[in-house]
Order: sequence, then C-alpha cells, then structure tokens
Amino acid sequence: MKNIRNFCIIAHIDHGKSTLADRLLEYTKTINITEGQMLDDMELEKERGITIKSHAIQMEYELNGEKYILNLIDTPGHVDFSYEVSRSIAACEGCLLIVDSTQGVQAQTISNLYMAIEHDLEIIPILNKCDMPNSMPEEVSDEIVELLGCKEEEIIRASGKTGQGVEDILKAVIERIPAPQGDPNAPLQALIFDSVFNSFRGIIAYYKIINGSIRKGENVVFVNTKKQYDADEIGVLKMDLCPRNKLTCGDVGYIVSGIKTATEVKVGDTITSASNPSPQAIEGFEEVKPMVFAGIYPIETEDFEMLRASLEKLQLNDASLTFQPESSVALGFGFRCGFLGMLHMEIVQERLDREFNMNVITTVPNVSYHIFDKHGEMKEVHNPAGMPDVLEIEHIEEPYIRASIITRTDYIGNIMTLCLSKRGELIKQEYVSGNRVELHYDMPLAEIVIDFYDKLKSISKGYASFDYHPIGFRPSKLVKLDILLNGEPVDALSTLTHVDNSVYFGRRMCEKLKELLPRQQFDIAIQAAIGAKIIARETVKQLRKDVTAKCYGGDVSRKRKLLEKQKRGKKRMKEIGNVQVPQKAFLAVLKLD
Amino acid sequence: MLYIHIPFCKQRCIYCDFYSTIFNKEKSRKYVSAVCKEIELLNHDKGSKPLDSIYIGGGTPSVLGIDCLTELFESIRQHFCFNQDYEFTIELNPDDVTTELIAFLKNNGINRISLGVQSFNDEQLRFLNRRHNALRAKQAVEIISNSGINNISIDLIYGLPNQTLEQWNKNIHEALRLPIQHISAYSLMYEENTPLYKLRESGKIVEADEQLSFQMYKSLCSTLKQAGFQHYEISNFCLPNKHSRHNSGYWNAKPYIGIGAGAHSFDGTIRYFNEENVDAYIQNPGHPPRVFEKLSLNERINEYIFTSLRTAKGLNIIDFQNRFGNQAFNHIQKFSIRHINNKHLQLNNNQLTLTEDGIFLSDDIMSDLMIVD
Repeated sequence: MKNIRNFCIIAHIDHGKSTLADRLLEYTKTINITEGQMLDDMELEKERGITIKSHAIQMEYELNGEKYILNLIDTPGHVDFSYEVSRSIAACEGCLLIVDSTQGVQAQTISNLYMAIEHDLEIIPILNKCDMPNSMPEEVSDEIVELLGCKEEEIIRASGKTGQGVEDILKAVIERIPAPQGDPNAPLQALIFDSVFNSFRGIIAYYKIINGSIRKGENVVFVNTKKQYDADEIGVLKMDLCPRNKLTCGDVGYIVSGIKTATEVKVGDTITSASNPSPQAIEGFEEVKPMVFAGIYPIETEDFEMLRASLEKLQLNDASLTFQPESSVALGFGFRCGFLGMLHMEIVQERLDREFNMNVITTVPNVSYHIFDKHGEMKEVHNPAGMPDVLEIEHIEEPYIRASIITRTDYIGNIMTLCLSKRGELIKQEYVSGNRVELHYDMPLAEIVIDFYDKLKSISKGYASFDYHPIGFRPSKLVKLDILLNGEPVDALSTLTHVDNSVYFGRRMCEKLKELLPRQQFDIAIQAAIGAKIIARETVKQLRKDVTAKCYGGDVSRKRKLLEKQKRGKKRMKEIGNVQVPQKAFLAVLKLD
Repeated sequence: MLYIHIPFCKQRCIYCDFYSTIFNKEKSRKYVSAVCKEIELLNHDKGSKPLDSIYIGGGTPSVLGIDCLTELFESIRQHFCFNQDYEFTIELNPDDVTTELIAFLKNNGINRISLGVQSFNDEQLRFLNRRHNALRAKQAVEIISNSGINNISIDLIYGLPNQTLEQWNKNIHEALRLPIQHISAYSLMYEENTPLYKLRESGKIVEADEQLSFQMYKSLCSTLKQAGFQHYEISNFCLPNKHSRHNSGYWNAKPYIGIGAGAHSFDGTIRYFNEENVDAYIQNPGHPPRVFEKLSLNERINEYIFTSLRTAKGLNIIDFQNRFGNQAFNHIQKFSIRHINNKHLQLNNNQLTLTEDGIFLSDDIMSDLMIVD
C-alpha cells in the first residue's frame, strides 16, 4: 500500500489535461500513443474535447529503485458533472492542478480545486503549455501562489505537447502525494466513482478500496441500493481490464457482476462484503438529481417506441439521464427527460441523432418548480404545461444557484449587465490577480438554462469562465407564457418566466418564431399570452405565390432537386393543427438575443 | 425528340442564365461543324426511328446566318428522318427576322417559330437589354405569318420592376392583336449570376410586389381564356391543337437527345448533359465532355410528379401506378388528400391536376407529393 499513489487531474476545458495525461501514460510505458487522446474514447468526447465520463488507469513507475503503482483517475471537466468530479476526488489522495499558462486560472478550476482541498488532497500545481509563445508563466504562477498559498518553486512547468516536465510530475506524484491509508483487515468499504456499460459484460463499476479487501467470487452488497452481487471478476484498469484474484485497501479496480442496468450502480455508493458488512457507508453519497428538463418527441409519432428503446440504451451508460413518458397536445407522445445540465442535454440529443439516427424535437428546457397551493401543499413540476390553474397557486419557488464567474476587468460591466438581466444578485466580487476578477452571483437556474453561456462567451469575447452550484429553492413571481399558433395554444412552447420580463419576452418569442416559421398556404398568427391576455402578436404571411417559371429539358433536374430539398425540409417539421413547425422553432426561446 | 443548342447571342439579356456566349462569326462556324459531328456520331438509323420533333434553341439560333444554318439543316436531313406530322421549331430574335430568312427556314422544313418578344413596351425592352423594339417585334410576326407559317409562339415576361398592371394588360392585348397561336409567359426570375440579380442585390431595382405579379398572372389567364387560348401548362397557352409538342415531351417524361454545348439529354432513366463550354465543345467534335446523372426510382417518380402536374392534363394515377408500383401509388394518394380537401388539387377520371388556386402553390404541393429518404 505504501507504494500506491492515487491521484486525479483538475483542469479547465482545453487546458491540456488529456494531452498531459497521455504523456504520463507514454512516459510510464503504459501505452504507445499513436493518435488522439487516450482517455476520451467516445467519438463525441473527442470532438468536443471534453471528458464526459471519468475513467481510471494504472501506471507503473520506478523511482530510486522502488516500484510504484500510480492510479490516475480522470475527472470530467464540466459544471454539469460536478458531483461525479467530487466522487473521483474522494477516491484520491492527491491531485494535479493543471493551469494553462496562456489563460490563467478559470472559475471551474477554482471550484474543483476547493473540492479537492475539502477532501484534504495534496495539490501539485502545474503550469501547462509552457512551450507556447503567448505563455505567461510568471503572471499565472502568481495567480496560483495566490490561490494555493504555495511556494513558487512547487509549481511544475510543463508542456503536454513537448513532454516538458513529465518526469518532474511523476516524481512529485510519488514524493508529495501520500500513500493511501486504511485498514486492510477491516470489513470491505469500496467507493464507486464511475461505471461503464459493456455490451458483453453488463455494467462494470470502478471503485477504490478504502478499507478491507475484495476477492474474486465474493458476495458483495452495494450499500445504497441494497443489492447483492457475486464478484464474477475483479481486477485493475490498465489499457484493458486486468483480472486479479484479490484487491486490497488503497487499490483502484473494477468489478464485473452481471449488472444489467446502469441505475443500479450509483456513483458514490459503497461496496461492502455480504458476509462481513461494514457498519457504515462511505460519506458523501448523493442521489444524482437532474437539474434541467426538456421534452423529447419523435417527429414521426410511430417512432415513439423506438425513441424509448434508444433512451433506454443511452441510459445503460449514462445513469444520470432520466426520462418519463409524457404527452403533448402539439407533439403527441414523447418523454420528459432530466439532465444534469445544458451540456448533458446537448450530448444526449447528439447521441440520439448520431448513434440511434432518431429524428426528434427537443422542447425548451426548464428547471423543476415547486408549486404551493392554497392549502400549503407542494407539487413538483418539471414541465410548464403541467402547471396547475393560476387560481389554485399560492406561490411558486424555483431553484437558485450560486454562480462564480472569473473574467478580465475589462468585461465586468458587460457581465454585470447580463447577470442583472438574468435576475442575478451580486454577492461578492474579489480579485484573483491584478486584472482578473471573480464575481459571485445568486441567480435562478432557469436563467442559466436559457442562453446564458453563449451570451457570456460573446460579451466577454471568451474571456470569462463560469461555474455554479445549486443553493436551494426561492420564491419567485413567475407566470406561464403561452404561445398560440392560429389561435391554438402550443403546449410545447409554453415557458415560465418572471412577471417583470414577461411582456418583453413574449414579444421576442413572437418575433423569433416569425423568423423561424416558413411561410405556408395561409397566414399564421403567432400570439403570446399570459392567461387569457394576449401580450404580443406577429403574422407570418402566406406563402409567396408561385408564379410561372419556365421548365424545359435543361431545367427538370435542377427544379426536381429544388423541390426535393423543400420536401426534406418539411419532413423535419412537425404538423401542429395545420401549421408546419420546424424543429428549431421549439428551441426559439434559446435563440433570443 | 431532338434539341439543338446554339449558345450565341449578340448581346445578353439581363435576366438570362441560359448558357450562351457573345456571338463570334469564326467561333460559331466551328461550333456548327462540331454540332454536325455530334449529330453524325449519334449514329441514328435513318428511317428506323423517325423524329416527332426538333427544336433549335439558344441563345439565339438566328444569329448564325444562312450559310451556317444550311450546314446544320443538311446534317439533320442526312442523319434523321421525320414523322409525317413532325414539329420543327426554331427560336428567333425579332431583330433577325427578314422575309428571306423566313422563306429559307420554311424551305428547310421549319414549321414552328418561337419569337423572343418579351414585351411590347420599348422602355421595358431596353431595361431587359433586348436588341429589338416593339415595332420590330410586330413586324417580325407579320413577316412570319405572311410566309404561311401558322404556328407562331411568342415569349412574354411579366413582373418587371415598376411594371404596372395596366402596362402588362396592354402587352397582352398587343399580343392578341397579332396572328399568333401560342404564348409562353414567364414571371421575371432573379437567377444568381445575372446582371438583374446584381441590380436587385445592390438595391438599384426593387423586385415587383408579389401580389401584383400574382394579379398579372391572373389577368393573363383570364384574358387569354376569353380569347380562346387553352392554358395547357403552367406557363404556356395556345389555340386549339397548337401546343408545343416538343415541350410537352419534357413534361410527359419522353426521352430526348440534346446536341450542343450545355444541351441536356434523357433516355428514360439517365440524364446527361454536355458541359457548358463552347471551346471544349469545339475542341472535341462529337465527343464533348459530358456529365451523367442516373436517376434513382424515387428521382424518376419525383420528376414524373412535378412535370406532369405542370400540365393541364395532369398526372394519370393509373399510369403512375403502372409505372412505379403500389408503394409509390399509396404515397401519392396519402399526400394528395390534404391538397384535394383544400381544393388545390383535383382528381377527375383518374387525372390528378392542380386547380387554378393550386397553380399558385405548385411548388409547395409538388414538393409535398415527392418521395425523399
């Protein structure tokens, strides 16, 4: 156990975490890298450069004649996955804090770092991308010193690209990070920090043994789900699964036990022995709760069952996705899906498209609302269409978050204006370094869900990083805004909005829909209404009259292609009443500017 | 059916996106030789498959001059034979029409003339960069008619910037005063890469109001109907039995052969066209660079749908079923119901046709009926 080091990496997106990790794997001869970055193996992950799911890998390294086992536990680098990050951190004794020397410390780095500090991890600060001409090592070092209270000499200068500093990092991992502690003779306690789905073997759970040991074939219990399994196979994670007969305290490993559904393996759960159970579970377990909800509907109503099958398959390796059947007057039968956040939602949407070839409509995302009726009873609503009658509502509460935004001082004004328009309340403001500021805001989550990132990025020209965590529910004056097409309310376009913004919001919705709805054989009236009161109206004029163009021998092909393109466009539309509505119109609200 | 493309003009009309180059005597001579070579290599068995129709279009075939045309006619005669009641059309610019030219054409078997009149308003003709004026157009029609050719078609364009409904109506009436049997009327289209398109983009002209264009079309239809013309295709009108048989072939999915640079051919399943490049055409006499496009079943179905619906006769659903099978038949039924209910399509005696209101929504309706993956 004294020669084991368990560590993770904390870094902002694009700060070079994966590349540097690859270098470590190469240097320890764990792998010869030919293409791409090893730790991200989903196609989508590669494209987006985000590690969506955490992975783990074992390296071997010799220092001063001693052999060491280094377990690198990878962490996802996005706010949506902060709970998963916290469990990965809890499985480690140390962490590499990677900061891009051309960018400096970002909001997300800080919040994950605080998490690591809370768990008493030994932090090894690393300045990455030192080979870049625009690297600012001194300035960024100062930021790190300020942040960690460490000495400047403790910061390792590295480059994932050239391999600079890799040896120093490995050395620091062994020398600075403490070996895991724990009692090998105590009852088994292993922390699940991740799981993956394998189509042949079912769900494979990844864990770190905190106390005790586990043997192949042993009967184990997952404490929170209370389910029992036989450990058909256990082992350690190298480039492939490497089976072992026994793993003991401090080890990071996997277990295969024929589990079919991902929901049975909860990140943060404790594995213990069935015959000699540990009296308590490892602290910090939480049921992952979806934060953002949206309806997903098949364009063709007959594809409903196929959509269900696709979502079930997605859930196999994404336990944080939830879905429940619902129906909409406008869209027919579909599912209300719950996501960890906006990125998670986008990923699910893209995977449905790419991996399952499902043509779907996603409705405007919303958060979960607590609706209190006159008798003081609370109802949780995940869909604006499911709101009870206004007269029955006593008050509504909505989830709030504490946001942290780090930016250059030049953009403070713009960002404050944005946050204000998003009903944000400034809590504090502090300098990270000479010209960089961290702003803390309390904001309704619902405002973040709707086009906050994009706006933040554009007004700060990309020089703002953002992180948040939920801080509970607060009462809000919310109203339900309905959209009507030719007098028919389209439930899938209903939103909850703050009463003060509602008129402006309704007007913008109508304007945006006017842009997005193609002209049809008749005029289309677009109206925004609160209750029975119409607050805005736009009209999409009927189709331009097709007047007479020539069509002779040389025109046939061109004209056919034109009409076929038109038909393809229509196939991606949903007919509501007699109005054809394109998919993108359902997300109109996200595109308001 | 044979089409011969003559891609030369003395000057370019501002709206035209047909393939054509500025006329050059030397080049046109070489070009006609290459056309004759292509005709020769078609290796058409003389007499075995008589042609129903030949159409010489452009460009402006009338810029060629009598010697070049003679070469062309001789080549045609040598390699093809004609049906008894063949149709032989040539497009002419009114400015080129003389008694001699028409007599010459008639002697060579031409029995139908398509005259690019476009307008009887001189100001509009100048705007469009046409060579002729209104008077010249009327004289041309008289010359042709006096020669004994009684199958004359004129082209008209409506929906010009600033054109009023009155001006357009005047155009129609001027046309009806002339001894013509056929009118092709097009609304002015703004095709990319035309001077007209650029004028609009730069804000120098404003496209006609769509409601006004629509009124012009309605006025055209009703006036011509009163004058005894049949509206036999979306943009074509004729006196009884004077429809263009050649163009009707395009709308009835008949095979055709196109000769010349940029000319299109269709053998029933494959479309191909000679590259739009006069120089390359001249350099490879008889073997011009060609582009082929094999139509899938769906593409053939789609072409059949929209070309047949352009005609007054419409789409015969039994014929459609025989050609393309039950699945396609069910598809077209499923998608036409809504339009039949909306009275934009009608089904009588198994003929599916656009109604008068449907014509103005034809793109929307036709595309609806199409099959795409």
